[in-house]
Amino acid sequence: MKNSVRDFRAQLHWTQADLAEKLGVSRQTVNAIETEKYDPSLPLAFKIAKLFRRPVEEIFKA
Amino acid sequence: MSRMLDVENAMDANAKRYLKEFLSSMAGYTVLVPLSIRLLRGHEHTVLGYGLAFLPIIPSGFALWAFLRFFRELDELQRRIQLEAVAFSFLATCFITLTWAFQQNAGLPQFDVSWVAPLLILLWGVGLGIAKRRYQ
Repeated sequence: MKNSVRDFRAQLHWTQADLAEKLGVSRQTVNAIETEKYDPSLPLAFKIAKLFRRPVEEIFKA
Repeated sequence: MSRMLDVENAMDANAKRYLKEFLSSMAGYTVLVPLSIRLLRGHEHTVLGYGLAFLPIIPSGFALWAFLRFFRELDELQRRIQLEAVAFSFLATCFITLTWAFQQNAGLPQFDVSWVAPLLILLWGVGLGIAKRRYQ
């Protein structure tokens, strides 16, 4: 699955550690999501969308 | 910033607590195995004997409980990595022990079941290495 997590995070000038803290996950998990090696669960994807104030389908694309 | 440190610290604290509890359990195990064997002499096939033979299992139970506590506090990717490692370990152990069982018919020595747990743990470590690399 493709995603734009890195782009949206960069727009907000957050580091991976910042995003990890806001999501309550490890920085390694944020990195794995951004490099598209790991697809997050639906609850985590919605949490990311809520943080970026975007619809989930704008961030994650099949 | 302080909350970020809180999350990182909580994860580190979880790993540190697990390591401390696991090593304490293993220290107890190391002491109780020879003690149990020594005390068991002359008490085979008695209730006391079965109780003494059970002694090393007590710290093993603590190690199991420590891992479950550690596992529950992992995030979803870390849990997946652990699950993939455990699945690898389980299946590889099944494969190795089954292969050995058939090879016994061809003359290999009898497989000692007490080697199953160390084999599972060893292959769990191998599985962790493989799974971690996959998500790096």
